[in-house]
Amino acid sequence: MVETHALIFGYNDYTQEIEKNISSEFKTVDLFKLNSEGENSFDLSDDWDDLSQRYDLKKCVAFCILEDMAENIFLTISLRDTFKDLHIVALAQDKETMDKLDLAGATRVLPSTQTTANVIVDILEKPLVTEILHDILYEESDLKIAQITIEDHSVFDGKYPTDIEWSRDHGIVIIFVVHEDGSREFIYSSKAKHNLVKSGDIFVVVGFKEDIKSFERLIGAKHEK
Amino acid sequence: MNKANRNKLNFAGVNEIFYEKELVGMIAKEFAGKYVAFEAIHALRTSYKGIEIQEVLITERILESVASVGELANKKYRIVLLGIHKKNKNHFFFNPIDSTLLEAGDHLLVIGNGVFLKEFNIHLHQKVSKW
Repeated sequence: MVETHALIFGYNDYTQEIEKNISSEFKTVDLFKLNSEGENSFDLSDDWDDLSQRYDLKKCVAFCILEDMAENIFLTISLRDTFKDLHIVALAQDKETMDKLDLAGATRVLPSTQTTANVIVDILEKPLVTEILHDILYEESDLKIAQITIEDHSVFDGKYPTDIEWSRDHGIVIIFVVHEDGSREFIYSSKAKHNLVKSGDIFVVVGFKEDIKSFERLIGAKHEK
Repeated sequence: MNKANRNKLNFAGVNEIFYEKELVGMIAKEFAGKYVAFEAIHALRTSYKGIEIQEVLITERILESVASVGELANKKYRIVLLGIHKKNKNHFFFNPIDSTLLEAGDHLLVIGNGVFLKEFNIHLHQKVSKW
């Protein structure tokens, strides 16, 4: 990914949980407290000069997680107004705040109530699916999802994606084919089924780390996170 | 949520503990990395273009006509078999080989179009004579 620094604005129970989860993804994670003393403090009337001097904001993700939603919206507006290219993730506690944060310029909104509700529904309706997907995403499982670009299609010359025994011959399961415009097609969709495998094709695969690596070596590609 | 409160809830007998802030922290990771994995899984969870992930319980009735993974005929129904959760081992086996035997109480994790998934389910429950 492009962003290398995470800036978390707000110091509360969310801060600890977010920091714990994202720390492995960034070079640095810095916490900023509202209306406190010291280098990592800020107030809502800030002009953010200090921030732009300390960081290359094109390589930063800002997490706006103030619990007071009015303050969080104001913070998002202020950051967006100053930094047009900054990737801003903002916490929302209800639908109304989600809409306001969207308008305020947040790149992505973290809906706390909706997130909890979705997880509860998933666990009740599809407990095994939820558990296994959770392991793939959050735990140190050997099973991974990766996006692989075919660099050398000669091994699949003249074959359609569904002709290939991906699971038996390569130990991986292909789920989606990704097109140049970023849209995804299911492997068995008509569009994906009727296009020969060629260099430049991108597949979203599930497999064990070692099988994914072997497959990458075969087709001369590297996967993206 | 502190450990003491977790312990109390566990002691009280809850099956699942939901801590909103922890869930938000986990979802925050979605915006920080592993884009591909998250987007793919999000697509499956939200039935992107009608494609969803389902769990299918293996029942005695299904076992009357289908005994092993190789007999599922999932490809015919354009279904991807992600794996099988074996009840007796309480373990998920990714990409099981065709000879893997099915047992009552196992769950298949399958991915496909909602319509085809429904047909696949009907197919599994149809009694087919092996003679």
